[in-house]
Amino acid sequence: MKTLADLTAATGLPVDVHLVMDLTIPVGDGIQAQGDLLVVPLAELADRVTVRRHATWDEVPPGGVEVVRNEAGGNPHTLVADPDTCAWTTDVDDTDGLAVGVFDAMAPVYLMHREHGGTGIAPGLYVVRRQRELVPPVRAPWRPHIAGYRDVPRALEVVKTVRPVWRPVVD
Amino acid sequence: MTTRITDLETEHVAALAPHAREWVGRALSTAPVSWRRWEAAARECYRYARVSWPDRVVRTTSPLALARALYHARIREVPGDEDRALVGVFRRVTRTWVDGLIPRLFAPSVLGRVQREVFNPVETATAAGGAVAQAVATALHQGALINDPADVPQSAWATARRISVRRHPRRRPVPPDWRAWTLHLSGQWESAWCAYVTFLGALHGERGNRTWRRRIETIADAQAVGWWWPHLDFVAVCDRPSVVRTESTPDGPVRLHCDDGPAIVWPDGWSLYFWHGTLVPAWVVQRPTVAAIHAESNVEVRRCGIESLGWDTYITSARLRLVDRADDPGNADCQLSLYDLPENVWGTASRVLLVTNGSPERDGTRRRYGLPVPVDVATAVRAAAWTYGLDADQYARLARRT
Repeated sequence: MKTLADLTAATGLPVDVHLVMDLTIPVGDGIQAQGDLLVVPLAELADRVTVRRHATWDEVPPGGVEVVRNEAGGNPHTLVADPDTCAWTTDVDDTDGLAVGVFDAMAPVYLMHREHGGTGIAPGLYVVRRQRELVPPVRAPWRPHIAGYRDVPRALEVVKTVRPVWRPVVD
Repeated sequence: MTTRITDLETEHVAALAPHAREWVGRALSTAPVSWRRWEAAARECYRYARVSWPDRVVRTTSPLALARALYHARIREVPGDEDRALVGVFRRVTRTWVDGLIPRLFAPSVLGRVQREVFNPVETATAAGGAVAQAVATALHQGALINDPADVPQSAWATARRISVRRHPRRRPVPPDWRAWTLHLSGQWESAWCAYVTFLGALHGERGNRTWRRRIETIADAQAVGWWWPHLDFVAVCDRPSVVRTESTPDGPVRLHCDDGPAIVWPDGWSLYFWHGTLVPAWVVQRPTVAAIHAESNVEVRRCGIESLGWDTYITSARLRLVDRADDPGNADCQLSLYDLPENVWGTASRVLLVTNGSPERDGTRRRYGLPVPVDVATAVRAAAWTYGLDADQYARLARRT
């Protein structure tokens, strides 16, 4: 059972100072949310999320793997696990398009974020999903209306003058 | 006969992302322009177009000053039927010429990959170029000269004096059919294509003839400024901005944003405000109010205004109709509230869900923020489930939220 202080010491990831460091992080096996990420057991979404057949599974290193990087505030969510206990893949198909990846934990793992602290996840197969909001269709960017350019400006056009041919008057 | 490149080597694939990053940096650069280098490149462009170099190079401080100077100097050019403006010729001998040559040298798969990984990120970062043109158009056609920032009229007048002897200070707004200022080359705002072709030129390496690669280098140097406006009798060119503020998006590319001031400022003081990549009037960033939001006619600016003001402040001030309220599963003592959002505010009929953050801020409060949801979600829990793509009963079983 780990506390936030244990996790920050083990991984070196910084956490905001006002979060409580000494409480044990509860480890759960249900649906949990951290900020705008959601961790759901894959069995709940088996009809919507599938892992591709030849997916590449990467081992989660002790320093953690960044699940979602570069949020608008600049802080990533990091999945942290003991060595050789968790595998992570992003080769995932989701009918809603929200899945970030799937991880398979063989021991309790933790999802850390600078502002939200830590979330404990029990062993099992889980999918990580992002949050969505309604955005009305984007309009085409404004362009100044130009009907194309001339290939050559008028001042540079070579004007062919026809020299009048003089011919004698025929009587 | 040069061979066609059909495949990308591993080292080239690894070089795609650093190249894109370098060019995003160059596209949004505020470093002082190397005028000697630019002038040499511009001379080469005139040589490619087979036009003699006009010895007058007129430098100005911002695109708005350039446009006003052209108007003061009574430059009457019609896009599509240019008389002495050279932008059409330049595009033909640079971009069209290189674009015609590239398919002969590279396979479509290579071109597609380079476009996806080099052109697209830089294009997203320079999407503000269109916004700059839009801002110039608005300032010209709707603002009188006195509304411009401090140094713009002075700079415009000084530039006009150097462009032409026939000049006349015009204090009224510019008529909407005067579009000579659009015959410019956008310089750094067109860097996406330059990034694309410089990568292909480097890919081609030392094989074959060098003419087209030399032309690409010339174009890249000539576009390392702000706007420039080529003409038979003069070349007008404007500086790069002195301040550019950006943010990075979750998907990777950067976009312009600043929440406490202007996002682009030119040396003469002309500044533009951006909110997450959208051009907005100054009040959105400095002083958003509900009255200003409702008075705004552009729906995207309204949305940015609401985000800037904060959803909770907006909902209480605008007195939106409450549809449903429920306890937030997994988040002790917090509630989910679903409100109706009128169509004339958001652009389409929709609803907004007000949620509370799971973890406290530094000062101990919990931030509340709004998520627009479709109009057909009936309850607050169902709306929260929609945002995660779950069913309402699955979301109701949420164990913990941080």
